[in-house]
Amino acid sequence: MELIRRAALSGIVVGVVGVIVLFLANPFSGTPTPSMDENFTPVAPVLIPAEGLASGHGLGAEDAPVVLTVWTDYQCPICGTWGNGVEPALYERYITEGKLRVEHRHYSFLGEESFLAAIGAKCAADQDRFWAFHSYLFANQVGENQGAFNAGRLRKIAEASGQDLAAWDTCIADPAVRAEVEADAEEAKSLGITGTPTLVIGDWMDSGIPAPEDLYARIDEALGN
Amino acid sequence: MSRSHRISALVSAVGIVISAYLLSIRLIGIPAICGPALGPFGGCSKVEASAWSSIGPIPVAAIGVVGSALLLVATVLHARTRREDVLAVWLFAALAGAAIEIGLIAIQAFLISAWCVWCLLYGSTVLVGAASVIRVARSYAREAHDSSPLRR
Repeated sequence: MELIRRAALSGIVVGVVGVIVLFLANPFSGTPTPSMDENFTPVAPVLIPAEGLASGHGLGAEDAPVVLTVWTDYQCPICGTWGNGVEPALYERYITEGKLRVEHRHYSFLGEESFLAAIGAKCAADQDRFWAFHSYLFANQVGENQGAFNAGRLRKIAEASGQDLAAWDTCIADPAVRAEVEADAEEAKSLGITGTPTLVIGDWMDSGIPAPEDLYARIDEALGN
Repeated sequence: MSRSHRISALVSAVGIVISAYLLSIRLIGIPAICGPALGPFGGCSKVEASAWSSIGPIPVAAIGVVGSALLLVATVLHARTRREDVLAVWLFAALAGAAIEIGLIAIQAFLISAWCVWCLLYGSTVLVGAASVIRVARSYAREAHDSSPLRR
């Protein structure tokens, strides 16, 4: 019976310690939470590409030997992890070396705010400032369809990421741009993509975020290393 | 297999399914069945997007899958063997899980201010499982007491 008593006591102690660890771990997560009030100031992203390294919807040299195509929805939490964590790591490891180009594709399916964010991003691409806007979006994710990417906040993100606001305002009102975002989503479906992020290198395609060493091995293999 | 064992096995299996679903939402980004249609319990995306959904790089849902699997194995093993050490492991895991679940429910209520229906259902499986093992442990304690040499 002594063993049972000790097991019960240990279980409760371990459970309480687990809750305390959960509480203590999070203040050190390092991810600032964007404000949801009207005085919204966008959180600056980790990755601001160096001049000349971002063009169109891509990041990295246009003649890079390996192209990684990434389909995301700007509201998907794991895409946020990709944009805020993995892309900066790839930037440091491969992109600044000229070995990799990341091509972004829109697969908006989580709701209207996903479409609004993607439309804003396409209009940023028209000004050749796509990647700054894209990084700001991921840095300012808050839930899904709760106003994080409403029109007012997206305009502030456009301003923070250096867009010409007059041109951007005109562009997002163009129905043709929305049609392009919807066409992107249809293309994703036709390719059999069912979740985000979905990564594509050559013939390889996978959903979710692989372990860093697996992703690096995949890129290295494509580089012929 | 006693009634308590059957209940624990059932809720542990349900717990594995729910936590695996929550984990796949996080890892693969499949759309969650949640949102305003579920009323006050539709705050899944807010809970999932919160800092409380992981401990460092480990999603809480992954801990849920492992914990429920451990409870299921311990339940089945104890039902077959009735060994005291297996009951100890089962009791330990169930009470640790229950304490953590109470903490997570409090976090939803007081820190995130949103309720996630799947998280609450999962929490219910853990709490019901803990009640089952407590019942088994009390029954075991009674039997041990009744068969004690001092009682004969």
